[in-house]
This record gives sequence, structure tokens and C-alpha cells, in this order.
Amino acid sequence: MKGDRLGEFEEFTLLALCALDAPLYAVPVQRFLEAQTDRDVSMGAVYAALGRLEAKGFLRSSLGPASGHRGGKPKRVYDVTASGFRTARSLHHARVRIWQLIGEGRRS
Amino acid sequence: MTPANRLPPLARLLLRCRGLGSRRAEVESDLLELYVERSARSGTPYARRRLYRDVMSLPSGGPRVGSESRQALGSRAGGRWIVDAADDLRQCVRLLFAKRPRTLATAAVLALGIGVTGIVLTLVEVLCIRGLPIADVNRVMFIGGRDTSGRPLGLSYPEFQDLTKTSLGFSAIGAFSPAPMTLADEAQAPDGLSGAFISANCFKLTGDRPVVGRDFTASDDLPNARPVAILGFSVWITRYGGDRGLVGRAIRVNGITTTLVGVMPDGFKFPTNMEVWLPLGTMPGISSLPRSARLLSVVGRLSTDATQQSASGALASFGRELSRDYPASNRDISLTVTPINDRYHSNIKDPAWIAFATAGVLVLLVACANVATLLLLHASERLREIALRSALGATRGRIVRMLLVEDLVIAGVGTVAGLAFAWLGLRALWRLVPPDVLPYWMDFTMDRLVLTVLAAAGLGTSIVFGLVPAAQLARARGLSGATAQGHGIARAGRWNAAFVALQVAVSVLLVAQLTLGVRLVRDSNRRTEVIDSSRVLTMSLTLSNQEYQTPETRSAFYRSLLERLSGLSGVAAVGLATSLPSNGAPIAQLVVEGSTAPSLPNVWTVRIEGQYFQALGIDVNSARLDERNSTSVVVNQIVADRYFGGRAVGKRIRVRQSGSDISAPWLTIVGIAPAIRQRDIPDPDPVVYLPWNQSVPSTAALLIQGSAKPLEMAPEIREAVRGLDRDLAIYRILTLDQAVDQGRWNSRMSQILIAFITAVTLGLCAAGLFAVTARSVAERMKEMGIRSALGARRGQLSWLIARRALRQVAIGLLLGVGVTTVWEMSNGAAAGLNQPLSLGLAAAVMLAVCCVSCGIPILRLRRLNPLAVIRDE
Repeated sequence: MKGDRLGEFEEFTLLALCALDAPLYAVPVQRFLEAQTDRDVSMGAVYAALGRLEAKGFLRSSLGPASGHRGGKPKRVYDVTASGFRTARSLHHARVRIWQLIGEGRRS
Repeated sequence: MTPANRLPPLARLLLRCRGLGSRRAEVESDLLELYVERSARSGTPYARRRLYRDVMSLPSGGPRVGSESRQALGSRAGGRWIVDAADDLRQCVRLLFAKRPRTLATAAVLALGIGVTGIVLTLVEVLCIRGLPIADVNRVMFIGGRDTSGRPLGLSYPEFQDLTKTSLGFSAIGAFSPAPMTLADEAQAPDGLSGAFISANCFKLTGDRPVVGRDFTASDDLPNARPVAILGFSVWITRYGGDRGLVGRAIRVNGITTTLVGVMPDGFKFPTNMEVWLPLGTMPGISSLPRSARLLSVVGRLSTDATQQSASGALASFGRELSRDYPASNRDISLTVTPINDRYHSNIKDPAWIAFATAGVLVLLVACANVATLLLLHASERLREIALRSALGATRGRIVRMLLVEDLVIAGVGTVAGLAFAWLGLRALWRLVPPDVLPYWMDFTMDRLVLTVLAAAGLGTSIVFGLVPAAQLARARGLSGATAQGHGIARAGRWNAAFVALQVAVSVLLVAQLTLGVRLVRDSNRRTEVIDSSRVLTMSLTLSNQEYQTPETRSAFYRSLLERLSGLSGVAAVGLATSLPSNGAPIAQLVVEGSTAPSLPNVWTVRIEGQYFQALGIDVNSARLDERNSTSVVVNQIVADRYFGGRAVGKRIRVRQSGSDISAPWLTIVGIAPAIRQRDIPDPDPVVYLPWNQSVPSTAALLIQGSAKPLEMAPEIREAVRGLDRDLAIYRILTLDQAVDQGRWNSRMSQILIAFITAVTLGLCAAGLFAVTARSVAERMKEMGIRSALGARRGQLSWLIARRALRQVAIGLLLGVGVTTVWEMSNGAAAGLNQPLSLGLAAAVMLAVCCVSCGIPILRLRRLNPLAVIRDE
């Protein structure tokens, strides 16, 4: 546990959930991450990141309704919490500030 | 099943094993969705590869760390321990997989030890312990006679009948006499089979019953009874296709029309590999046999209140009564009782068997010591890791358990591989055993007890030898503590260094013995193999007792057979013999005219007829050989040299068959044959070639030397023999090369076993040296780094390590050469051979093996980066 801090992969997962449309579950997240990061992403890594994000309070999960194209089996759908959005945004702001400093050539 | 609705079965099984609990359904449906999409986009193989990667990447216990199932398990009493042990196991498998060469080397060392020991112990169990597969076999005794020289004898039919009229502590007494049988009928060609005449109660005594039909009855066992027979299961299946209607029908056995009354169960071939049984009372001429004709093997089952000792005492006094009543035949003959298993088994207390079993156990001990060395090496490489775990709060128990789990996994892999190795080895050895040489219950399959002992030894080794480093490392507190414990491990390693020297010595002894053995066999073959077996065809035939009852009829048949075969085109020489070279021979006692020696020497006897020696391509040293008649005899060079100083021709001898008191006639030696080996031993035996007409046998081996390849002549020869008698069973059609090879299976198997054990010992010795040297390199890395930084050259550093290894090798070599020299001098095995050559060869082989196994770890020093080593410390 890193408290409310995020690792790189957790941040990507959180951003994927912010970027994607509903229904938000593990499969679209995995597809999105593979497409955007250009690397192989295993489902184990996605589940682990979703689990940690949920434990940190950035996500909420519930069992969604069963759908025909999945053989009638249910899926776990996720919602980003307000705290999750806040954290994602603050991370983005921190990065933007740093890049601005890099652009202005000020290192301290 | 299409990818559209289900995952592949293996993936579903793996998912089940991941312990996902209630979340398995949702994970499975997620994976299915991806699998279907990837299959459509990139093909099924790619989709499968990704699917299995996804399944294996799932966190154990569920898709979330600390899932419900894990938490639920951890909260139960003892559940925490299971969860931790599962973690240890998972981590250990990953670690061992990451360090594959190290894991495989340790497992291979254990596998070699277990494999060799498994083979050795199985052979000891099969040949010395297993026993006949009959009910309560330990209460079945073999009843025999013994003459004054202690030679074991059978009993005669009158003696057996006297025995059955007494009780003497036996609930049942039966008898049998093995005999070759010919099975014939209208539909098929005759078959020559092993069979026995048995008394009617024999199968009841062994506790076996026919699976089809009935057993013999007392009325079947009378001399003039209607001929009946019982068949073995395999003949019933192979010759008659398992036809149940065969029972009650007539077949011809030994030329006599016989009613088949039963079929024995599958695998039953009592007493040894028999396929046909006839009642003892119908054995030709049995009721007129004298008391001195001790042809019967007699067995008895002890009654419930009797013991072997009480039965032995009762039989001894019964034997004395017989001696008193029948002094002509029974004087100096005592009756003995031995368990039936002792009759057929080698004696496990025999020094050769003890040495063999000890060698097997020693190989396992050597392997265990090397496994211990390798485990110590692994442990010393992990001092820092263990210290770190300890500093982070790992308890001593947890660390010990983690290390033990690793050892157990290695031991498990090694044990399974070792057992597989032993199984393959036993199968390969079984192929060397000719058919029907060993009794039917002696097949080289691993017994449950041997299996258990080996599995316990394999796993026990890892626990015992793994506990030492585990316990020492677990005591480490901080890095300094770990270093101190490391020194403790190093001290333990010194014993291993001494053990490696011992292994080198043992290996030198074994390699020297192997090279000496090979050279002895080659030398012996060169000296004694005087026969040309490459162009000789052999076949065995048995005359039926009905048609050829008298010696005259048998003699007439053999004469016409020889005449007929000699007339065939391409046949150079035809001979007959009762035993083929290297296939054994009956033993007898030699009486030399004029000799006053107190005891009679043993000789081996072969009856020969026709051009026996010419067929073997040898020249017999006598001008009077053609004058052979029923009072002339040929002896081999060993007899001539040993008893006549080489001048045997013209001298007279008598050959007494063992146990017989009938005065054998005087025979005149007319020729001296070269020393042809009759038995599978290095030095040829004294052999006497007796005249055929003195006692015409009903079973003979035919030897034909021709211009064509031996087996190409076989059909023509068989037809010619059948032309004389269509009911004649012709069997064992082999080239003489094949027959001799079959006769020598025992020594060939021994040579292969010695070579195998030597190779394994060499491999283990190399592994031991490697482990000790590698640990030495690992321990002294820091020192080497400093030396290197101070300007030492790589060659100097290598020499520092090599010196220590070479010291062990030198001590081992000296010890080995010394022990081998003493061993060979005390045994005198190498007489006439150049001993230093074998010894030098052994030392050179060992030195080469040692250089390679020490050299590999020393090469690591070439990659030494002094700065990195010092910085790490």
C-alpha cells in the first residue's frame, strides 16, 4: 500500500476509467491500456491495479447485469469516485506545472 | 466446442486452481470476451497464448490482493500456516525455475543415486527375496536328500511314496519332475514346451486351482490311468485362442493322445516356467525306477502345529530308517528340509550379494553427500537474502520452512526422476535376459517396499541435509550474523571436501575394476574361444516317450537324422549334443584309474554324436577319434592338463553321475578337445564328452555347419527333420552365436551394471568436486576482488582455487591407486595382465573428470570485476 499515492500503472488504469465510456469493466480497460501505452498488458495486472485503486477509495465496484454476448455471465463494473477524479486531476496539474518549468528552463 | 461460448478446458482448470472463489465467473467471462475477440482478430494460437499468460498473471487467491477466500482461509486456525506455506511453495518454484541449472544439477545428482540404488535393490529383491507367488509360501518346504559330500539330491519315486504314507509334520506332500513336452494336434505344427509330471495333490498344496476345467484327481495319478493333461494359460490363449470347449477334448502330448482336463490361471507356471502338466503316475517307467534314481523334486506344506525344525528332526529320523531298511541305495543319504524359496533364490547372505547391495547403498550415500554439498553451496550464496528477511521480521521458523520447502521441491523432482531412471534401467536390463531363463515370478519390476524405501531416502535426504544450512542461516541476525553463520557452513563444508577425496578414491577403484574386467574378458575370449560359431545353426528337439521308449529306437532315429541332414546340399557337418557351448552342462564326478585322491573331482559332461567338433570348426587332437564307441570318451584340455599332465589319450576314467551309486563303466580317452566354455564364467571348466550310445537322451541340440547363412538353412533343415517324424517338436532355432550370447547373459549384465555404476559414481564425483570448488570460489570472491585490485593476475587467482581442489584430487587419486593395488594383489584377478595400464587408465580418466569439474567454477574468476565485488561487500 502506498496510501493515496499512485504507481505508474495504477495511474494509467485510473485515467483509462476516466477516459472510457460506460460500461467500465476490466476488458475495455485492458484494451485501452494496450492501445494507448503500446505494450502488452495482462489481465492479472489490470485486476491487481483495479483492486488497489478500489482499496484506496478511488473506485467503486458492483456486479453489472448479465449480458448475452458473455454467455449470460455477469461483469464487475467500476465507477470513478470524486476522490479518484481529484487525484487524477491533481496528478495532471503537477505534471503540467513541471513541464511548464522545463519549458521555461527553470530547474529550481 | 467453439471459442464463442467457453474457454479451453485447460484454461478453465487453471482458473479453478487459482482460488478465485466467488469471482471466478466474472473473471472467466472477462477472459472469454478477450479470447473471442483476439481469436477473430489475430487467430486462435495467438489468442490461446495471451489467454494462458492472462490466467497465469492473475494474483493467487483472486483478482484482488487479499481476496475474500485468502482472508477467510487465513482467519481459520492453521489456515495462516497453509497460506504462508502456499506462498513459500510459489516463491520457491519461481526461484528454482529462475535458477534452473542449479536446481537441475542438484536434482540430477539425487536422481542418479536413487536410480542406481533402485536398480540394485530391485535386483536383490527379485533374485534373493521375492519368492514364489503361492499361498503362505513360507510354510512350503523343499524335501531333498544329501550325500556324504553334502551334494543336494532329489528323491526317488519309492522314497516319495514312503514319505506320503507318513505324516512327519506335513499336511500335504507333493512331487514333480520337469520334462520337455511336445504338444501336437491335427490343426497345428507341434510345439516344444517346458512341462512337468506332478503328483495329483501338488496344485492343492500350492493353493491354486484351474480357471477352466478341473484339477488332477488321485485316480489320474495311477500308472495305468487314462492320460490327462492341464495346460498353462498362455499356451491356452496363444495356441488355442482361449477356447473353453477345448477342455474334455483330445490333444497329443509327447505323442500320446491325452484328454485336456483343465487350464491353470494366468501367470501360474509352477514350479518354474511350466506350460503343461501331466500326472506323475503316468511318467514313463516311473513305477519301475530304482530307489537310487532320485529324479523327483518333493515339496511339502507344514501342518499348522509343525515348524521347519520339528519337520527337519522328523525327516532326519525317517531318513535313518530308510538307510537301515535299504542300505544299498540309502546308505549315507540324509533327508533335509529347506524353505522352497531358498531352493530357487540366491542367498542374500552370500558375500557377493552383500557387496552388490552395499555398492548400491553406497552410491545413494555418495549422492546424498553431494546433494548436501550442493545445498550448502546454495545456502552460502543466500546469506545476504536471509539476513535481509530476518531484519524485515521473518521468524526463524518461517525461514527454515522456506528453505525446507525449496529442498523438498528439489528432492521431489530428483526422486521422481530417479525412480523413472531406475524403471528405464530395469527395463533395459530385462531385455538382456533370454526368455525362460529366470523363474516366472522373477521379472525386473520394482517392488512396493523398494519404491517406498527410495522415496523415503530421497525426501529424507533433503530434509536431513537441508536442515543443517537452514537452521544455521535462520540464526543469522543482521549481515554480520549472516557472515558468522556462513563460516559455520564453511566448516561443515570441510567434511564434504574430505568426502570428495574419498569419492575420487572409490571412483579410481571402480574405473580400474571396469577396465580390468573388460580386458580380462577380451583376453579370456581370445584364449578360449576356439569355436567358429558364425556359420552354425542350432535347434533343439525332443523325442516323444511313446514312440521312442527304448534307447535303440532313439538311437535309430538320431542315426537316420544325421544321415539325412548330411546328405543335404550346403551342409558341411552335422552333430548332436545334450548341451550347447556356454549353455551349461550336468555335473558329475570323475574317477581316474589309479588315482588315490580321497575326494572325487567334479567335471561337466556333454554327450555328443556325429560331427560335433567339426560342426564347431575345431580340430580334436586324436588320431583315434573315428574309433569312438560306447566305451571311448573325449576330454577337454583342462581335464587332460589337470589330471593327466597333458598326456590323457589312452588313459581310462569313470564318470559317476551325482547321487548315483550305479557303477559307471570304464571309458578310454581317445581325444583331447580344446577348452570350450560350457558355463558363463571366465575360466573354462573341465569337460568330458561322453559317448552318445551309453545313454541315448530324448532331448538333443542339433548343430549344423553349412556354407549358407545359418538362419537361411533353417526352413530346409526343419522340413528334413519333420520328414522323419511330423510330431517332433523343434524349438530354440538359433544361430550358435545367438545361443552362446543367450548363455552369457549373466556376465554381460554384470559388466553392464558395473559400467553403469562406475559411470554414475564418476558423474557423482564430478558433481561433488564441482560443488566444493564452486563454493570455494563463492566464499573467496571478496578476497579475490581485493587481490585482483592489488594487482594479482587472473592466472594466479585461478591457481589459488585450483590448488585446493587439486589437493583433494591428489589425495583421492593416491588413496584410490593404493586401494586398487592392494585389492588386485589380494584377489590375483589381474594375473597375466598389465596392471599399471588399467590403473593408469583409471587415474587418467579421473584426472580428466576432475579437471573439467574444477575448471568450470574457476572460469567464473575470469569474469571477476574487483570494483563490483568490493562495492557489494
